[in-house]
Amino acid sequence: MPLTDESQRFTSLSARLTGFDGAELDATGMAEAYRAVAAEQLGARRYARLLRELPEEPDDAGDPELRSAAEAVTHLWYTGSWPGPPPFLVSPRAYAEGLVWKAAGLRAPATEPGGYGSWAEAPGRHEGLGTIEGSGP
Amino acid sequence: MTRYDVIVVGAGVAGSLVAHRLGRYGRRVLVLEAGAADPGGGSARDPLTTYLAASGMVPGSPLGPRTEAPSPGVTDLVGADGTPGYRTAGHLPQDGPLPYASGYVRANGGTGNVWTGLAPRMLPEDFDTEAFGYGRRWPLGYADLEPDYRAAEEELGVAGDADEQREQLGLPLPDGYVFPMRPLPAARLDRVLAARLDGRRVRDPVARREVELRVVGTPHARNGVPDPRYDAGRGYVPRGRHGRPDPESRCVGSASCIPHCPSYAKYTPLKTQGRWSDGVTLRDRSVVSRVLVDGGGRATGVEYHAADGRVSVAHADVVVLAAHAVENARLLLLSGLAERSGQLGRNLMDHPVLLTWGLLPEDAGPYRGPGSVSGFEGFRAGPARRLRAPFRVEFGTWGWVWAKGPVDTDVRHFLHGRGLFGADLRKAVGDRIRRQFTLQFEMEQSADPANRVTLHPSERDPLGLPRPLVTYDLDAHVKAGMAAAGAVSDQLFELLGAEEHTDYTPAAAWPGRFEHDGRVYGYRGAGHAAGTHVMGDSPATSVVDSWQACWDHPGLYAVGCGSMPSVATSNPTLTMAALALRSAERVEADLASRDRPVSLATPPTSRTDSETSPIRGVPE
Repeated sequence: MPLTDESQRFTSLSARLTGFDGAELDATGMAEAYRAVAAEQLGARRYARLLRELPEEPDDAGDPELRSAAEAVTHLWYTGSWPGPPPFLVSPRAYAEGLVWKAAGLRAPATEPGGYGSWAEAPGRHEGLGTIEGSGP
Repeated sequence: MTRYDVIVVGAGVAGSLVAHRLGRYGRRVLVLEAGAADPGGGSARDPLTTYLAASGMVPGSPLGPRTEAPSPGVTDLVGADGTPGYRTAGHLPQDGPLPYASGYVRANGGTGNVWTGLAPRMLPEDFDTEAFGYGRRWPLGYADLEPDYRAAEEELGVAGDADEQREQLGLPLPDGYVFPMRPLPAARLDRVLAARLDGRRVRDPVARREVELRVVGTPHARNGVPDPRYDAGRGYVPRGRHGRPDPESRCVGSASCIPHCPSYAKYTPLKTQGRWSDGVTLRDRSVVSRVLVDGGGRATGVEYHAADGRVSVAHADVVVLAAHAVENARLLLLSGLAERSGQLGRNLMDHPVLLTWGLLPEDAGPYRGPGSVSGFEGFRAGPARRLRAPFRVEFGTWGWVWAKGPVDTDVRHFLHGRGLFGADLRKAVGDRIRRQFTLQFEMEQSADPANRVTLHPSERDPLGLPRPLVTYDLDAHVKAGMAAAGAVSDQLFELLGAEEHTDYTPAAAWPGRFEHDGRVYGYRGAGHAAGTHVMGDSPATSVVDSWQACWDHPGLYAVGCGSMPSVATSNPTLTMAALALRSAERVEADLASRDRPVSLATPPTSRTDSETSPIRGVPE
């Protein structure tokens, strides 16, 4: 599928929101599906605003509409679910590719098991995990 | 109309095992199951796909929706501010001070589709808690059940460490006995806890004693590596999806034993069904509404609502109710049977589970294998149980999922709650999930006649049958156990240097919440219903005898956890399986004596005498 300008904008926006780079996001195979979900769920006007007006640092978004759109798209990438209302899971694939698991160096339960006895080891196939510092409560 | 030797009501763990055993003896067995034969609910989707496509992956997710035979749903019980602190909806209304927080599944395979697969035995002293001043005594002891425990471990395919069970729990396993499969490898969490805590001591402020900590592996009904020493060197072959031999079948760490094991390493009743002989017939979507008896009270069959909507009748010499503790009691109440002792429906027990959770200083290795691989066993036995309920401590290796819900909760916390995006969000979410662990303190709850199942006076199910109504509470003994567990948990967190996150709010998430000595505790149900047709050694005080035969009705058995006079601290499935196999042998003996040529010296009614003789005191 040829990359459109809009697809590129969506991926670049998603990278800023999620902390995962474009290559990592592409590797999930979910970018196009999520772009379509976001466009449909936000509606053309809000979707266009999000693509064009979100500040470089997403948490600087003071505008409530922009902010909630940014949160919804980030939630989608991390969990595979649109937060609603009503919430829905995009697909089994989306669940398996949720960034929440990748952020932790894990695979989603029931999707890509590590093999007999794999639970004895620390995770870390996806990231070099050094000493972990506390993030606070 | 076909006449059967035996009708089994319910195709869960107990019913499937009874049918299997009797089928092997050449008996004609009809199994009536309320749910659909395919618990995935149909043709197009397998349970894994259904599970992965579900929003909010709850235990019922892989099971199709059911209308005729509803089960309690996960969202049916919700916490509320005020008194009582919960609300119920759906199939299982409640009116007690505290909620019975467990559900069950009415589908082929029953709740055995969605169990954890943990298969520990009960301890010998668990069979008589009256010696500790509480609860009810079993009409049989550990030694009576021991051969059946071994048979159940074979049927379920248990992986465990016999030497460790002997040394750390004092279990009197026979000399030379090994489990079918070698113990599962310890989880990373188990290793971290063992390194920090083995040999350390914590104080139980309720019992005023110190307990030495030792991480001990839990026996699992889950395929691992067969032990070549099993069965006098004949070994054991793991069984795969349909119960057929599958030497390579292993747990591969899917971290989804509940609701669904995609590799079919975990035992489910469907594996036993795959081994049924041709003499066993499963009739699904058949909701039994009444047990039929003749003028002498002898069971003659059942009435059931068939899938085509018609009310049908089936006849047999023996009827075995194996429809789960709550539904067995409901069915007997609907039939007006087995009520002589006044104990039918009473003594409802569960394992109320106190959860505590937090973050380890290091990686806990969550979401990579079975939900719990090991635990602490040192709080289960001994004189301390005079003062407080005993408990097992399970290590929860699936992060905070039981306490807080799926990991989406963590995303929501950092994204919506803390306003994090980008690299900050990625780091915070990853860090939190990697370090998550849960301690699950599973309390023994003793038999209290006030905790009960009755028929709801007005609410009806889709077939027009009264719904079960549950009245439930926790007594001071259980609350004292929770208090001891809470104090132990505090010390464990301290010794681990772990960051505590235990918090029993919001109210909606904690229907099981109470205050005790100024501290708030929240509990969950373990799904271990017991006691509703309690066994005993007298028809005046119990519903079934030690064979799970109803005192009042020759040819009628009620099997399952509902027969247990105490629920001990073991996950009860293995004990239920052992009892079911024992009952099957008794049913076979009944049928064999029926088949024998009539002896002129023995009038037919004498069978009743042998069925009702208590076995307590029988030499071992």
